[in-house]
Amino acid sequence: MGGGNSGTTDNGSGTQEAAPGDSGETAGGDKQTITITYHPGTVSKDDFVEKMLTQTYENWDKKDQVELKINKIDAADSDYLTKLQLLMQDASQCGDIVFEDTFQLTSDAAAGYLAKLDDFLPDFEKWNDGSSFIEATKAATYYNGSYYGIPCSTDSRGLAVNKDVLEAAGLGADWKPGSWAELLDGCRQIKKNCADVTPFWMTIGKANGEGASMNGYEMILYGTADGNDSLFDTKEEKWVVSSESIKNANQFVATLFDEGLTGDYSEMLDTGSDGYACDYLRQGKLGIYLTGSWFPANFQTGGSYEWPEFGEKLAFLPMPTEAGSGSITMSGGWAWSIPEKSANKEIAFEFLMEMMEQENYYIFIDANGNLPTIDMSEFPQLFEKPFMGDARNMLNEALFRPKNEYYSTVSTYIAQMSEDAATSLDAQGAMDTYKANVTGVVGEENTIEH
Amino acid sequence: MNKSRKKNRQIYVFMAPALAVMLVFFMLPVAMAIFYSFTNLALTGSKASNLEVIGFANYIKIFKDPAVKDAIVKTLVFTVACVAGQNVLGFAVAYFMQDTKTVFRRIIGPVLLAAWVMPEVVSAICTYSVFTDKGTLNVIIQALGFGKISWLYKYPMLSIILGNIWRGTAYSMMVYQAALDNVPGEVKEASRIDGAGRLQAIGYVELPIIKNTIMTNAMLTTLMTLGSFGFIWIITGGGPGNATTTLPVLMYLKAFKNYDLGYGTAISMVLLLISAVFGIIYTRQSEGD
Repeated sequence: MGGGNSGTTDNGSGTQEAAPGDSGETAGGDKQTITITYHPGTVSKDDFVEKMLTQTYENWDKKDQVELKINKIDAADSDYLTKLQLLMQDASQCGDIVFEDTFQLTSDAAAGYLAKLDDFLPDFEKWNDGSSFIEATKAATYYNGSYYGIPCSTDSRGLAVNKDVLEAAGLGADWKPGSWAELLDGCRQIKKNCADVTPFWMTIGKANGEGASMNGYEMILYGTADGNDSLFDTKEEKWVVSSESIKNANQFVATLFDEGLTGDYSEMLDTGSDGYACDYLRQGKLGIYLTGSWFPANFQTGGSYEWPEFGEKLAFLPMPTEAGSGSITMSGGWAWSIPEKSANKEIAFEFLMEMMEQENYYIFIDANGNLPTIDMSEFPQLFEKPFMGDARNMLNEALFRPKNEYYSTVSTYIAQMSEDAATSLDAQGAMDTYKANVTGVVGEENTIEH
Repeated sequence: MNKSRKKNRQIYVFMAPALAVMLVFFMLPVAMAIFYSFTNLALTGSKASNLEVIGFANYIKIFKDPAVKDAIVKTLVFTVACVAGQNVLGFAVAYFMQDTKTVFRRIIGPVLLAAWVMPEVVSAICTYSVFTDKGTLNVIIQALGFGKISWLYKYPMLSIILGNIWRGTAYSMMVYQAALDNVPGEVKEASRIDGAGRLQAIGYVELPIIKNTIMTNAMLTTLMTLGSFGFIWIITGGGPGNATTTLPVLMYLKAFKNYDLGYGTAISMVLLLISAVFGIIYTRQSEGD
């Protein structure tokens, strides 16, 4: 596979400008340049995105005609997205390929920042052959009748637990909480029986943006009685701004913090929260971490918190619902998109197709720790890694964030609500603030109370 | 007649460069900000692609938004506490530096000045590392046998106020030093001969003489503190919750975190209004003199 794919496209005109270089004298300034903007993430010590891009470029048959410019933005998730939006407003800054969280993609597509890929997709063999792409993942980049990105990762969420801690707490290594109450009791038992061990960790707070909303709060909220309609009423197509479910989710967060079942505020509300949690898990100083299926990437060779035994020491459990009627997971992912103002869309898309060739893509998805969006059966080692099976199984019943252009803004207020409930306000107060904020954004006519 | 017209023209020519700079870099951005505050300007979503003038909607929202009221209160608390702290401390240090020639002047002066000379980011990080859970203050407290206190989460407002007073005192100190140096020695001597004690001399002689300096300095520190953003943002990010969300922080959050640029701009107008009110009070006060 791979390598020669781009030769099958008829988009050759995009490279015409580079023709003077053909004489072989010098590359000169005639080469077309494509700029790729991304955010490297924190799971790995090395910048695996850069590694993937460099390999893709080195193996590309258009390498001699096109210059590759890598624009790495090393910032917290939410800051990265804001910077990206500012970049995409300007043709000279927007670059040609951007790394987008799919929750933001809908909103950025509505803003006109992203190019529709409709004209390019017919030439993308992998996209259309019915077997290369995992069909369900395509929906993440679909908005208003068009695709705005090529999905490059997906994920599920659950509880990463340290079995040694569970054992020491007297819960037993096979402990599996069946409801919120059981989860809280488990945390209390860890607190009681294990000195210097933090029972529970989750991503929370304004600074952590979408991570706090989705990896933390929504994993709790979607497990309430309102389930899939707890955030956005899918029948009425309205945002839920006040409900018993939201209040209960707030109360759950408040209980965790009030009873001292979590880590220090300063570490949990910090943008480095995930790093603290991984390090404490490794040291046996943390029992339960509500996190995403990419967490093993932190511990594998080359990860930020290498830990050879993590496969035996940890378990990845489903997050129980409030009442104990089952479990819940949320699924999201990232995508590569092309800015609307890019002057090199065709050649950028050709490069993007190369990035999705298995041997290039492998570098990305292996280090990133997420689940692949394309068929990677030729790389079975990817699925032999610990917890990949658990993560994929969870995906079967996964819930998704509302596909609504306001979600990304509402999400910022969800993150705020999680922080309010944990720190300064009670469950009701945090919900009232949320209601006022969301109503202000989506308009009262688009809100509903349950 | 002709001569004076020529002179007038000359004045305008010489003023033109300064006026142009004012216009392009100050008046124009302010005018644009005023305009955007009447729009639905957004960073993302469909609003980002259709800019619409929405009249006073943003301002109506400000009046209804409890977060704005809360932020105004927090801005005033922060400003008043910082201005009072910086001025009182700045005056006290300047006063004691007058007659102590050696140790006090040599050590305290440079130490205070260091805080002021540092870039805002650095002094904010210094403050953060004093108050954070594993910071200097907790190390000292624990060494003395007390339990550690989560300053930035239990007393966030107090922490940023103390940090800002530390950072700003040097400025007030320098201003008051200059003013006190200008108090004529004869007046001080006269008051001493008349039997005034130290406090009486300060209250009835020196303070009234430097009253204008006090007003000016209070005004300048007020304006500097009102607009303080980076310092608070670095230490607490406006949190925990909204405990240190002053108006500049709220403005940034609304514009760049909640993607509502129009509303953020409207909030900045409230800040402008508050600054203007302080400005008018000050101007009136000096006109009165």
